[in-house]
Amino acid sequence: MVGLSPVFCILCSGCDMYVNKTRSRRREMALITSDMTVLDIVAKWESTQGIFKRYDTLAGECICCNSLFDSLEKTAEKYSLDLDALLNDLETAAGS
Amino acid sequence: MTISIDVKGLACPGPVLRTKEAIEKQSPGHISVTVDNDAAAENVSRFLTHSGFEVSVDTDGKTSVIEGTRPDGYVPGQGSTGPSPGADSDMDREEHQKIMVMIASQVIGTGDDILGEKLMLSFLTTLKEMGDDLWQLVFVNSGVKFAIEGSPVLDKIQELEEQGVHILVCGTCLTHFDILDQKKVGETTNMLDIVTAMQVAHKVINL
Repeated sequence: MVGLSPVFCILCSGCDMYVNKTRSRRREMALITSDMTVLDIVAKWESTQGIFKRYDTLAGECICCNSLFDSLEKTAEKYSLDLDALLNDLETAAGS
Repeated sequence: MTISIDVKGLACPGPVLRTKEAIEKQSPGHISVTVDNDAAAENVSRFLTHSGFEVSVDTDGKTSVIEGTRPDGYVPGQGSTGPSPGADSDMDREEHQKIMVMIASQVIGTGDDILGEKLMLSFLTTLKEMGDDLWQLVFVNSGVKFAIEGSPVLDKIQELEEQGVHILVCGTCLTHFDILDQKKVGETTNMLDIVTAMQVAHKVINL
């Protein structure tokens, strides 16, 4: 099984090749979810601060000043923001 | 330990992030944070309150000094020592998820049991990749046979247990298969424990 591509190696019992690929893929994933608070996100991924600044214009006020302890879902609802787009932008920034 | 930080001039969320970093690195009993705007004063105060500090604010109109004192015996991770107005449950979430995985079979899926068993062994071997999020691993029905001597993944399950994962093995099931005395890993458990674990878990994965 070691010689097979990790993509197809579903029977592999955690060989190094598979595990390393999985870890690498996980590092690439930002794993930002809508239940995380704005603080959770900016504390973990500094690069996301710029995204919130960008959305300040749509929100009409500083999100990090006024919604720092709110979940992303609550923040999007409060300012009528597109949650999926916000998540996508944050994950892109976090992964860069 | 007492620490003082000056976060004047920092835009949000800078003041809270600097405060958070200082607390995490130094675990002070008393902290003094100087800020220069109302939003920072409010957010730092709120953050300190959530972090278990008793907070007082002294302001001269231009700058504010937020003083936070942690009561003796405060245990980090237990959140605020008392109710705080406007507290969000979001902030009380623990660092890691609590994922409960329930193994109720010796195979994954239907169609071919030989393939299903290989998949299950691969799954149990790879489960450690969940890291600290893996909280409980529960074996019921024929799944309990993974926890007895001769199990091809016994060492993997024992490793998980050593790493702090709670391993629960259904006692009724072990008795049913007459293998109670062959169990080599985990705690023999009952349905109440399983139901309670399901209730407490953030996520339950059932296979």
